[in-house]
Amino acid sequence: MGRILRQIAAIASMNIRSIPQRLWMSLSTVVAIALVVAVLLAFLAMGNGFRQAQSSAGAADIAIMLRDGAQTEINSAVTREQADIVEEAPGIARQNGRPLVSAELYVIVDGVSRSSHLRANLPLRGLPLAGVALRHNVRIAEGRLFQTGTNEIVVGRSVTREFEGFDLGKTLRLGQSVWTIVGVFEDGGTVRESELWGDVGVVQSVFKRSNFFQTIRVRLASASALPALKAYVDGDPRLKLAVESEAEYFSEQARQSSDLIQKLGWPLAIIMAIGALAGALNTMYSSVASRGTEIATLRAIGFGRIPTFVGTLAEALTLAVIGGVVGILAATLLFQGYSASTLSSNFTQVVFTFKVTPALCGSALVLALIVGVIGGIFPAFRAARQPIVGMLGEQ
Amino acid sequence: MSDPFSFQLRQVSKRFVKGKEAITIFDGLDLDVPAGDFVAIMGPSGSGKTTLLNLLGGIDHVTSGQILFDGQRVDTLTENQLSAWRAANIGFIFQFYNLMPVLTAAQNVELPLLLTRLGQKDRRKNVATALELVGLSDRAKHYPREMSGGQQQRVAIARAIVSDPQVLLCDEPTGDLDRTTADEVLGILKLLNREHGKTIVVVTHDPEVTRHTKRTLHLNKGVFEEKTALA
Amino acid sequence: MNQAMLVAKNLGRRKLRTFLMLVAIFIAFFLYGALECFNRAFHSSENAASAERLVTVNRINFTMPLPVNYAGRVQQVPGVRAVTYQSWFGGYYKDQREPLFMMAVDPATYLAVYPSVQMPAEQRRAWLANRTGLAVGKTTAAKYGWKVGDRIPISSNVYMKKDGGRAWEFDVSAVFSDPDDSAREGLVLMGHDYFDETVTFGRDQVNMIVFSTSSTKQNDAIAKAVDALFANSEAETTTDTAAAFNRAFAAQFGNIALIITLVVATAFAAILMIVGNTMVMSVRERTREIGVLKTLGFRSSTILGQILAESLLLAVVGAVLGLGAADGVILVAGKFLQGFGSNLQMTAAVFLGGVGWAVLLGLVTGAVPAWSGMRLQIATALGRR
Repeated sequence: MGRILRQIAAIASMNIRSIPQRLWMSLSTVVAIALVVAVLLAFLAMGNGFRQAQSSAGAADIAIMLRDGAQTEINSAVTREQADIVEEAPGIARQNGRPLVSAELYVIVDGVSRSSHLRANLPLRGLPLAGVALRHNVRIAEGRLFQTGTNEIVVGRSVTREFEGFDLGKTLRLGQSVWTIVGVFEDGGTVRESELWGDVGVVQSVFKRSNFFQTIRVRLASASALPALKAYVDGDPRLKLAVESEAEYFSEQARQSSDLIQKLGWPLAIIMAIGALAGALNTMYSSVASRGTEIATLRAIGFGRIPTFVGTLAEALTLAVIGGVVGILAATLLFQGYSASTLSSNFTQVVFTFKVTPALCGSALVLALIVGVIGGIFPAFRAARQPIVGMLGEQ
Repeated sequence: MSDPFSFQLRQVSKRFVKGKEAITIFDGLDLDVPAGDFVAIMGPSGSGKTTLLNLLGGIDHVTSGQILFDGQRVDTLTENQLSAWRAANIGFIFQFYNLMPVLTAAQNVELPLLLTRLGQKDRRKNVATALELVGLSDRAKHYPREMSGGQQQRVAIARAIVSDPQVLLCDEPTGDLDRTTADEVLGILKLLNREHGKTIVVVTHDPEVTRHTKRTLHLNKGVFEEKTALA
Repeated sequence: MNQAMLVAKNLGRRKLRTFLMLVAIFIAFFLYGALECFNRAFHSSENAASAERLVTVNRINFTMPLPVNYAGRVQQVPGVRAVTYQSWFGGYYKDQREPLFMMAVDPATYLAVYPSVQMPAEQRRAWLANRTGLAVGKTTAAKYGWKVGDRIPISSNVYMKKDGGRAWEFDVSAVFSDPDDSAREGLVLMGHDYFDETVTFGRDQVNMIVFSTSSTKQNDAIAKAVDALFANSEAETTTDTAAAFNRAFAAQFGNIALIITLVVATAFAAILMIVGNTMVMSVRERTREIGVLKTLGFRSSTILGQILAESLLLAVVGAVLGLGAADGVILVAGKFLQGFGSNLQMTAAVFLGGVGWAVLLGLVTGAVPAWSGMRLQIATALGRR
């Protein structure tokens, strides 16, 4: 056993050290694999970032209620009456004696993207101060919160960063009224930072939706209070509402969108990997061919077939690993933290950043290794089965 | 009227520069090759035999001096002119045959004809004639790897003569063949010289060659010592 | 045999190697073909007609409504020819997760503003006459198996019926096609009267007003005039060409064109290196043979041409195969996506563009080996073992 391992080590190191003799061919394989890995990682990071922006927003102790059957806030409709009934429900946390219930409106307004200079849909959420309070991690980073009953709005950090005209102090003309941006809020880069917030009553009157909301959000006394709340809502025939925790709601939204990006990214990467595989096979076959005499000499000396086989495979895997690592580094350097936005299922822009993680790098590296294995196995067979006689002294 | 001399070398010098060293192969060499000659050039390695052949064929260029072919200077021709001149007048035969492995025997022989204006029918006819002359008509559709060394060399000869050039330049044509096959090949060369009047220059180590040629030249360190063979 | 055959024979020298090169080139051009077609389909609603039609929406956002009487007022603006209006219905058939591209429209004026929409005369009459009539684009009709005369229920994600239900009953009056814009063949059109009578809210409101003008040179001025008409009123407007509107909407998904360009560029970069290196290696193996050809009298420029022809042949064959495969995939994908309204098809432009890139690829990968082959000295070539 030890003898075989020593043979393998010897041949593998000879193969690998001979790579510089076929520098350009080997380099082309490394580059091809690196490009495949980089493209895959870019897509995965994009999907991951998009998913995280949405799913990290959800809290387990906030319940969100939509009209029964509505999949998203924009399609939902809730009345004042329903909101009042919900306030009586069990399991709701209280602040200053009042239940933390927020009946909210979700309308879409135009913004202009800083990068494309084209119109983009942005969400204007009308909510009561209770609504701000029940969102845990929100903090006002600049300026202050809007005052009830005024045309004041606060915008999320992502909005002012990615879209024109939403800086602190600027005004916004919506319909007949002028709104002033009095604050910028942050929420850890989640989807909430892609929103504009204003007082619900004022938004309702400007958009002529009096007594009409789209969602009800409720801060639960604790995460375990959710079933009780659900039972209450299901039990009242006037409340045709679907109840779930914000965490569930957002993670479902996130899953749908990142699914799509994954369904695009992986097939694309696999197709490109086939091309890289063709290059890898080509490099390895030519490597075996050019070292024909060397291989025959080693075999004549007494090295076995298995070390020859493993040696060639080791060479292929080395190229693949180098290519994979280069691709990972390139993708990380180029894309990590890159900010982008796209249309969500709520029909509005969600700003997110590309997020490369070790797990994703691992997946990408696995693809590189698969290319290396397949690209090395067949040439390795050829090297091992090469006849000794006739190869010595030839060329 | 064609010149009585196929080749005339006048004060030909050839120097190679390798790094900082200059190696002189020839210095002021003279040579006359009459039309219809069949001459062997022998000598030790490094004597310059192959270089001489290359110079005759226009493959290599003189450092100084003149080379005349049929009374015309060829050392001053441009590359494209040399290509055309070679196609029309010279046939090469090499030690390792140098056939194209991806082509059949007939296709290999046809190669020089692609440089002419002959149509496909005429090309096929000429190829058939050449193959018949070397006795390989039945191997026309075989690939080089399916043939022995002697057969490959005969295909090479067929390729060399298919355009009916005036001159054949041979670099160790029997170097890789066994005695019997070598004699066959030399027999064909002799035939080409006697019955078709081709001027043939053979560079070789093989002393048996001199028994077929009209004369033998010995080249040593770039200088000739002539010995005439018994006719 | 001739020189062309010689080129082909050289490619057949090492069949496995040539096959692998073809695979790599095939993959790159398959990606190019598929992605480029997708890119064009994504931006496809920009045809000549859509560059001339004008669209008016609420200035706040196109999801906000406009009063329906705006349509009549737009008609009064000088230079406006035919005016129609539409509202997003948000419909779905059986499965809430599969939305229909469904609009409530005014049938007569719709057909006036979109003259490329075609349907048999009796179907057109039926649609115009029947309040609950539905005009369905042929690809959606095929997808669900709807035929003229069918009675089908469609529910809305957005609207509720006055009587409490969410499902509207429709009669399929017409199945239409649009040769100018196959995306339109995914639409489902209901009558706005039926819509107005039955919804609990949103009555007499529309999402957008679409109109044609008598002279497209005046479009800019007319658009400004329309917006000026409604400035300082309850619903201010913004008017633009349909093409610009669609383009802005497509851009909201992200810079798709840039992403596709980058992916295709990386694929090409990879194969450029692979094929280029292989060509260099392959020619170097033939050094002696090139020398022999030159001794036979082949000119250096001929050698250059032969090697370039080889790399060109390789590139073009691989490209045509890849583009052909992309065409096949596009055909299949197009069937799945057409329910969502897209112009997914392989056009001559993409195909010829691909062939053009193939020629460039062939020239670039062949350049270095062809040059060195041309410059090769015969004596060196023959001496090299």
